[in-house]
Amino acid sequence: MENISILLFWLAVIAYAVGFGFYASHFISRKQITGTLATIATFCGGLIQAGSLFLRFLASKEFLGASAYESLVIVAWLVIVGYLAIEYFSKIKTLGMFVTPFACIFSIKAWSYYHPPGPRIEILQGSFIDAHFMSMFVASAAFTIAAGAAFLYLLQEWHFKSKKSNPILGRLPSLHVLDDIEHKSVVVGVLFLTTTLITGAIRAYQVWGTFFDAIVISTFLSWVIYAFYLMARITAGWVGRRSAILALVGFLFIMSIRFVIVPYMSFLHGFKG
Amino acid sequence: MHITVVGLSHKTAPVEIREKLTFSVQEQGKILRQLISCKNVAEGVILSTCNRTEVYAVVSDFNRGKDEIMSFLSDICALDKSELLNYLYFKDQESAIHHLFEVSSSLDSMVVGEAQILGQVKEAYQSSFENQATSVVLNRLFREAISVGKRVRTETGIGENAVSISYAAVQLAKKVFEDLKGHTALVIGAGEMSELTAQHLLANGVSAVLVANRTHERAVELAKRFKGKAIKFDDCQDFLKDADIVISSTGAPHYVIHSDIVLKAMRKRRNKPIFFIDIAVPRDVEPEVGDIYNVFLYDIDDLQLVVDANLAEREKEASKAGNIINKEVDKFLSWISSLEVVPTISDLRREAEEIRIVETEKVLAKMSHLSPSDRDLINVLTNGIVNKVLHKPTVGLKESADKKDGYIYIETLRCLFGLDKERNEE
Repeated sequence: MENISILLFWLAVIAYAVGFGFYASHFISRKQITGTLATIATFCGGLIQAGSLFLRFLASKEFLGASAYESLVIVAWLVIVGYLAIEYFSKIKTLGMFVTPFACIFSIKAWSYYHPPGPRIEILQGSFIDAHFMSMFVASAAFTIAAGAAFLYLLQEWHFKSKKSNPILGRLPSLHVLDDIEHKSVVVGVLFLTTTLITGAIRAYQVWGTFFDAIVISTFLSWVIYAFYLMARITAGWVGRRSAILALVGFLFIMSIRFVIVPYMSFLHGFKG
Repeated sequence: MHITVVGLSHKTAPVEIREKLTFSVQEQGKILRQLISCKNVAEGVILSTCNRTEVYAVVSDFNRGKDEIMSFLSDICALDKSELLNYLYFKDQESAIHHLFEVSSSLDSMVVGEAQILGQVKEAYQSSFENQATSVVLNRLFREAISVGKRVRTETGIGENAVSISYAAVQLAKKVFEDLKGHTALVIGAGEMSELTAQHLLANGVSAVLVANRTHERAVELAKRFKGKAIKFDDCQDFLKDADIVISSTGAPHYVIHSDIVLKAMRKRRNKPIFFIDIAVPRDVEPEVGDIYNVFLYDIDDLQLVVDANLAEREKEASKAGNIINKEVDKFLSWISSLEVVPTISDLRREAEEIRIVETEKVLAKMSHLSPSDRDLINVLTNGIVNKVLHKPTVGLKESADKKDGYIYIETLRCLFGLDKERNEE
């Protein structure tokens, strides 16, 4: 079962890569067929990755997410699921070009942490922890999508303001749509990040009697960035470029937490994997 | 006699130059009179739109005429002749006719196939006609040009998916707002261009239209038509906070919208994006406005870049239109060539000779008793009469060739003597 799960894992990565190719070619050529193929490939990738995760769940007989491998794969999968939902409602495929590579990168990075399925260590058991993990995954996926939309927003705004009228860049979605996707994704992200922080803090306090740790503080800082994002939008009218930059900064922060602070600087989260 | 065009357009001159060479309707009469008072200029039409200022003229000598027109233009825009020369183009006779037909068919427009230019050509001609600045040649040329323009519109697909400047502007607005529903448009300057733009915007879902115009009545009239709201021209800056799309096309010689005012409005709007489309020449919106956060500004030159993308598609239709134009140019040229002195005199003589022969033959047929020498005498008589009758018109015509409007005598003569029967029958 573990081998099939691994096979499906790689098939999903390939499907995402193929999806990326079709999204990019659709963006350039505007041919309908490439757009359809892109969605099909990505959708299949999502299904296959779900299958891979499900098989792993059956093998370990536990909720997934307690290891670096599982967490990154789940984030990749959620990014795809979230993106496909957005594509379904907005009919915008441009974002796929940005999101599929991230799903690939997360998955491949996850592979470097791969370990056979098995039960969690005792400290990571309990419903608080499950909520903590799941909310963190959803938040990460939401922030990834927000960053994609923000990146496209900046590109489109630059293109629009430069008045160069590049026929290909001219096909980017409208500023309003990109800003909207970014904003809504951040709202979702912040809700779940808040849950992550609260559950994590409670659990940390229960176990260690403290929550002063690099990861807790840095996650709190990222929460501050995104909270500021929401507040600045409402009170200071930071819609558009400024909020897009904030969304990118927040995303970089989240990424550096995951790839710098978690592996090297956190003692509370320093458990294996 | 030469048909001449001296002008500049979006293809040769930047907006900074074009805005110096624009004329308001009120000035037209005076300027036209000034134009035809030039020594070599017999007729003139001034076509002045946002994208071009062109003088169509009938001149007696191409080189001298073009120099006069150039001085006339440099007087108006207060630009040095040598500087102006960098932006001007000169066309003579066939290429001038061809150019006008292309202009009226909208082949030379910034947005190929746009519908406004035909109306602008009509207006330019009308104004010139009313100021008695046109005569035989330009009357005919412009009527022809207008009919060619109409033909091209109906016979080719050049006007389909009409991409006028206003429509291009609407497309851009959609790049900012996606859906125009729920958005408010502010139209400053209730000209034809604004009207078209308002129409496009409404057709694309804009919920509310505010109209401001220097003459308030006109704003009210336009607002009524679009179920919008007319606002006082001086108040329009206060309404910037409510407007998502601002279309400015006033005839003001200076900026109407300054960056400090937009900055204030943006604060009140909490940076909700606003899109300025400045289709006025001279420009209405200070260029620095485009640097303000979440403010997007396109002036008329920027629109050029956008519409270029759509041009490729229209190229095919344009080549069809080109065929129509070529045929019409040929027809017109054959008429023009008839307005020369020598062919007219020979046409006149031939016509008279034909009549003389026919009438003489008729009489002689009834008088079979006449001797051959009597017959010759009658021929001499009729010949003498015809020659005497034609002598003065012939001399007069030759003299008129030296006058700048001499071709008017030619045309009159051709008309009175029915020398263009064949052409008229066509």
